Formats: sequence, structure tokens, C-alpha cells
Amino acid sequence: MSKQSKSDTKGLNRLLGIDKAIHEPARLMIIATLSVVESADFIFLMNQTGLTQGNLSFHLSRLEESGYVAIKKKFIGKRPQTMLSITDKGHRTLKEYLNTMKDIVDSFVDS
Amino acid sequence: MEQLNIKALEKKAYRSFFKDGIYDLFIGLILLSFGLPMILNEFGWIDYETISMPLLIPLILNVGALLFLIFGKKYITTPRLGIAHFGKTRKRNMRHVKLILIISALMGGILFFLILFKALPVGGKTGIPLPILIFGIQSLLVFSLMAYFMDFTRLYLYAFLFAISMPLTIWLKRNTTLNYPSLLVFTLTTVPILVIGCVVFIQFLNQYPIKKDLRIGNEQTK
Repeated sequence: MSKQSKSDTKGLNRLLGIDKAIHEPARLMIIATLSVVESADFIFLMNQTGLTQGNLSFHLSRLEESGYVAIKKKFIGKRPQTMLSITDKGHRTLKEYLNTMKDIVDSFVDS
Repeated sequence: MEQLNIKALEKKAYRSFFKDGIYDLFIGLILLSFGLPMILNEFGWIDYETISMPLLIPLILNVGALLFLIFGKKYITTPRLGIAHFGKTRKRNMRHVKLILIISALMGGILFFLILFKALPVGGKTGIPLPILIFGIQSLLVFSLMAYFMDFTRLYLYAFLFAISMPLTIWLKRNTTLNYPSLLVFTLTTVPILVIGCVVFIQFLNQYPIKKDLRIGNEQTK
């Protein structure tokens, strides 16, 4: 195996190590949006991502299970309000994910 | 690349709160509150000698504009756009805006009474009273600073329109034979702001309808 193809394989193998919880486009959109705010509610996130209510609920549950998003429910008067925020773990994972993807893309472009 | 995209994403999210046109309408109404007594005075419908009307009109319009801003944001924007709390820099900038507004309101109040009670030192060759010149400069400074801190670019245009309104009206009154300078100037400055505000507001209402079952969605997130 040549030096070049070894490098390509190494790059491809890094793809296997990518966290699938945020690699999914909808979840990446959610976590990226949450990374730029301290917290936001469900409606804001729906508008920013363009996801449907059901889709957003589903992906938020997955991100919460992974520990990347914190969901806090409270009442303002009689109205329920769900505030969402990215956790420290979520921030770290997003940063790692972006760096990894950038490295992989760069390695393909350079080769 | 990473920083640039995240920054752009944050900016887009933050600026989405200016899509409702409520700030535009608020500023338009405030400017109208300055112009309307002058226009009505030109037509002879109110007299500056009787203090109540020139005081009452701006007061009603200012209170109305403020109520529209507060309740509009609460009952029109928030149910449609949702709520987001932004980072430290945005919070710090908003604190600056609040401080600027408090100082500006205090200065505005002082100037208003100086104008009202005709304690007006007339400035130089232009014949424009000093408080009016200060009003123009202050408007330009305050709205430009607000535009900068709020990242709200339309506000730069409004700063300019606000700033020229009063000084230009007085200058036209004293240096030309125009019949209705106040009507002309305030139509050219206030109407564009209100039209932009209305267009943006209607677009916003069409683009972001309230979805009835969203609260159920809120409930279902966990």
C-alpha cells in the first residue's frame, strides 16, 4: 500500500469515529443553533432550523439522551415553556466534530 | 472557517428578532410625535401659546408607541418567533443600549421643555435654535450607537432621518417661503420609516403564523 493511499484510508477511518448523534443533519442544525445562544425555546428552534414539530421533538430527545442538550420545563403563569440549551459536553462534541470534519475534508482536498 | 460560520449563524438568529417591524413602527411613531404638533400648528389647528395640545399629542403618541413596542413584542413577536437568550456580548450590548436610551430620554425631556418654553438661543447664521441642533446631533448619535450595539442596520437610516427632521424644518421655515415645511419634512422622514415598518410587519405576520398545536409540541419535547 502506497503512502498516499495509507493516508486516505486513515482519513476515511476517521469518518467511522464520528459521533452519529450529531452527524445527522437535523441534529447538527439543532446543536449548532443552540451553540450560539444561552438558551432558546421550542418555537425559536423550529423557526431557525425549519424542522417540523414532530421532527424537532424526536431529534431533541435523541440529543438529550446523548447528554448534548438540556431540556428544562417551566410554567410562565399557566403556559408551559420548554427552554433548551446546549450542555458543556454538547459544546465539546460539536467543536470536536467540526474540527474532525474540517481535517477530513482538508485531507481529501490536499491529496 | 468554523468561527466564521458560527458567528454568521449567531448573527442570523439574533437579527431574526428585527423581522417583526415593531422597532421600525415604534421609531416612526416617536418621530411622528415630534412632527405632528408642528404640522398641526402650521395648519393653525393648535397653538403653541396654549401649552396643553403640543404637550398632549407627543405624550399620547409616545405612550402609544411604547405600549405597542412592549405588548407587540410580547403578544405578537414572541408567540411567533419564540424566545432566545443570547450570549454575554449581546447582553452587554443591550445594557449599553438601555443606558443610551435613559440618557437620551433625559436629554430629550430637557430639550423638549427648552423648546416648549422658548428658552431657545438661536444659533448663528442658520437661525436654527441651539436645542434643535442638539436634538439633531443627539438623534444621530443615539440611533447610530443603538444600530451598532443592536446590530440593526436599518436604524442607521432612521438615525439620519430622525436627525434631519427638526433642524431642516426650522431651517426651511426661516429661510424659505414654503407654506408647509413641517408637513414636507415630516412626510419625507416619517412616512418612509412607517411604510418600511408596516411592510416588514405584514411580511412577518404572513411568514410566521401562530401554529395552534405548538404548545403541545412544547409539552412533547420530553
